[in-house]
Amino acid sequence: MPVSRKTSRKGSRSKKRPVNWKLRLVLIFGSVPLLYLGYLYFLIVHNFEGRRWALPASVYARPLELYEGMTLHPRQLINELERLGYRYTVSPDQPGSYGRQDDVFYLTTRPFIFWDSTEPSRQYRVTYSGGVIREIIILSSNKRPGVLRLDPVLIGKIFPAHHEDRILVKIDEVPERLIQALITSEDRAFYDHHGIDIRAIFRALMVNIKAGETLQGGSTLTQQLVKNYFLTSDRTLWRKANEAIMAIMLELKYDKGEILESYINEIYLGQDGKRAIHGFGLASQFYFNKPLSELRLPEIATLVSLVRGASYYDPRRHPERTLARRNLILNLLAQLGKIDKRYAETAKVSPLGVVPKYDGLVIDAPAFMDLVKRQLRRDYHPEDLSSEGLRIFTTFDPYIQKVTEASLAGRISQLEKDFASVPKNLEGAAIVTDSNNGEVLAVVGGRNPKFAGFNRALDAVRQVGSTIKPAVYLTALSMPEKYNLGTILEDSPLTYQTHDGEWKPRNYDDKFHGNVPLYQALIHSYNVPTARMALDIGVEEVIKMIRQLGIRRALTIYPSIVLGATPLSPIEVAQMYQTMASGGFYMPLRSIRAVLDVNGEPLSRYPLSVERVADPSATYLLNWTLQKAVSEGTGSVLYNQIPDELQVAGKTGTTDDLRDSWFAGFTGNYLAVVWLGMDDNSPANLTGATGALRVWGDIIGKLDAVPLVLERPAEIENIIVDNDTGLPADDSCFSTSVLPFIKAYIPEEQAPCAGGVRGNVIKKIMDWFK
Amino acid sequence: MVNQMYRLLILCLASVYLSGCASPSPAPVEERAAATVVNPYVLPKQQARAIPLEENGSSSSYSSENNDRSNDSYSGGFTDDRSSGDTGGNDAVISLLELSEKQESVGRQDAAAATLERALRIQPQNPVLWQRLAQIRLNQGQLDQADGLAAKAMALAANNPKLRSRIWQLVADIRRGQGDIEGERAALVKSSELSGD
Repeated sequence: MPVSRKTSRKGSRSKKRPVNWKLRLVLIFGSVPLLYLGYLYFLIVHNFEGRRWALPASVYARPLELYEGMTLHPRQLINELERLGYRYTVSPDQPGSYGRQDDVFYLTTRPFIFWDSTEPSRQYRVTYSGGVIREIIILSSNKRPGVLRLDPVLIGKIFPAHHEDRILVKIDEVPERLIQALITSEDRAFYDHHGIDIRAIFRALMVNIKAGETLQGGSTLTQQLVKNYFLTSDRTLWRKANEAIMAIMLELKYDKGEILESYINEIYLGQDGKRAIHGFGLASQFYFNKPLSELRLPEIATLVSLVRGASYYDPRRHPERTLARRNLILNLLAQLGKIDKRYAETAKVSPLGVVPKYDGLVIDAPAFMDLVKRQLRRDYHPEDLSSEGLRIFTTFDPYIQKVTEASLAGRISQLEKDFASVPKNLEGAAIVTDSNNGEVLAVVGGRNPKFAGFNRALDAVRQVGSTIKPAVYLTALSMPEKYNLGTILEDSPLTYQTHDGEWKPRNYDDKFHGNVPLYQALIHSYNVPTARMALDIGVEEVIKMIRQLGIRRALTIYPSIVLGATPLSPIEVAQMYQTMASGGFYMPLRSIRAVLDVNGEPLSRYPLSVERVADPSATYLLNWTLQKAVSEGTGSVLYNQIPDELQVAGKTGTTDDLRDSWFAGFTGNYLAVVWLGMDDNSPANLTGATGALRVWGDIIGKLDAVPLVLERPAEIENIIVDNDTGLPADDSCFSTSVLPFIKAYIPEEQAPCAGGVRGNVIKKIMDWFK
Repeated sequence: MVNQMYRLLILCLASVYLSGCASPSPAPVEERAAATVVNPYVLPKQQARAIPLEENGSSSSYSSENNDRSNDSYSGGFTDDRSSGDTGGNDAVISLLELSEKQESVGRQDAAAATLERALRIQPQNPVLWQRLAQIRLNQGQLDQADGLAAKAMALAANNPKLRSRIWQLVADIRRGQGDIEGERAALVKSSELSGD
């Protein structure tokens, strides 16, 4: 079949050949250049406008908000301003600058577009007294702003595969000085030529012949831009000719402003590991840690120096070369009358002022970024994340992250030193959240927080031990007709028949304590009465509560789960405690507040949401007991580290053979979960109190924690109960406690001692003394 | 066939080239404009226009007309002694409440909610803020959210019968939205009991 077709074609062609042959030749030779030009045109136009710059997503920390009455150490404010690259100066009147006179700060903020409103640039006076902000004044109007919201610190970026990074700027945002310097240094005839500058090429040729080496390039900015689009090191004449043709084409199609804007955003200006620094917008941040609009003359000249070779003139590696080139540009500007001579001289003696790499630019917190990315991947395509220039506003707190990292690493090393039994390579994880709204403030995935590997805070799924017990007790307290804090539980040998054998729970101290009130059993973390109570209630009910508290993982219905024989990750434990901290309201942990698109339009918000999952009164009783667990029970060593006024509610957790050490707890503003253990699940030889609790204390001790004052629901009343029976008592009973009860469920039956003989005897004795 | 395609391609490219030369089209600028507005830091000169609106424009008249209201309806959250988690900042919270109402009044419900969240970070135990957030969610038709937020407000307003009465009123509205007539009636009863009527 194919053969026959071929022959038939040949036949038809051969007939026409005499007519077509010449025409074809003319067409081919005549059209080749045209075709080629068309091709070049297509290439350059496609690059200039067809290609959208793939913009990495920017990830921001929470913005710091200042207000009168706020406790914020001045050092923390300075830290934040430094991370943001605010310049310390005696006259802080430019955006992104600040000054200080003892307790008074003067600062001019940067304008910033947030998801809910735009913060204008303003000059403020912030007055401190005793570590508390006393007054904030807007200098222009002498008014008090209520809240001063700073711009947020950039904590990371999500890159496309080629790792090109840039911050796009519009031509009218570019300082006039930069354009002047660029044109002066690179292409003085920019506004006059049509893409190529014959005189400049000739001049460069002469200079280079004279010197015997390549000193000058005759390329116009337009040619340089074209060259940047097709970055190759290949320097052939053919290449140059192509570039020249494309440069002319660009000039024909676009105006000077468009070409300049494209140049300013495209040009390669440095390298940061895999990340390629493109454009002046990003270079300004990369080298000076401030936006382009805040650059001063010498800094502008420095950036323009880099155009000639970002690596050769790298101001961090070859400051002397950069300085020479910068000063040359400053001289040229003065010679051409673009700037005042004296101004140039002052600029020439100023230091380069380049910030150390990474310092303040990108905060390295891989474990937190991991959490952010996981949340984003649920809602966005990976390509959009790395190319659409999204702005992601997170809940990250740089200061708390730093404290948490240092506390975990420091305490782990200390434990290894202090206890011979603690193995080397002990690992750990920690999470800190805002106990009132579920925002994740810090995540540390291991003792080496800069290692972006195994993120233990999210992925170390380990037995939780007694940290699960609050869920068991909340299940019980949610049945107020049956259980209250005084309910007597039996702590005596227990054997439970399961389908694959007997379960005989034991207490940590291997003793039995007879009859114990419910709250005491939790305070001292007794296993046997907890297990007995849970079996009474039903394991399914307890599991239901664990789920309501926010655990989404599939749980096996097995009795030992009520003593924590179930694996969870630290972040899951944090979620469970978050629900308790918020008084029985489930609040999903959130690491992102909002995502904006490239134009600042909101794409998605992750708002605060609450769902009532447990009775607030029952949760109050639980949290009251967890405060006692720290002040009187298993967590009491915490108050060797931090003040007991904080009234922390928390719970230790220790697993079989001391494999896992947990502490989870909350103050009035922070919730933190710490886990310590070995990656291979071998014994760490630490209890919750000897290990994780100490890290927890280290973290909270360095934060501005406020006491946990439980809001007592209207349904709660404090009553005196008899310790032996858990029934309402009066002062004729010897051994009593004051416990909170749900009013409607206070037992009607009085304790035997109440109003009884013993009471009368005491009364008589007391009477004798009168 | 192949010939024709070549010819077509040549023609196409040539025409593109020629048209490009002949008429420099302004269109690409517009397209690019969308992609170039990336810098979240706005220019001071652009801001200069925005400031008067925010600072002078409606603000002064707004706050004066609002004085009684802040004394009345906000007082619930502020007269009580400071609860745990709250770090002062009454003025800050009032200014954010005002901003939130302003945003709400121009239909920016999500922004209004975000502003209330800022206030809640300062005073997480202030029931008025939770109540306001619940109200916004109700207005947006997010009844489940409104329900949870109202319950949270209620749990924090234990010692403030007047505020509890108002929250029950809100709960009644939510119940009505949910089609729960019985629940609505019960909530209204509670509301009037607490208001002492």
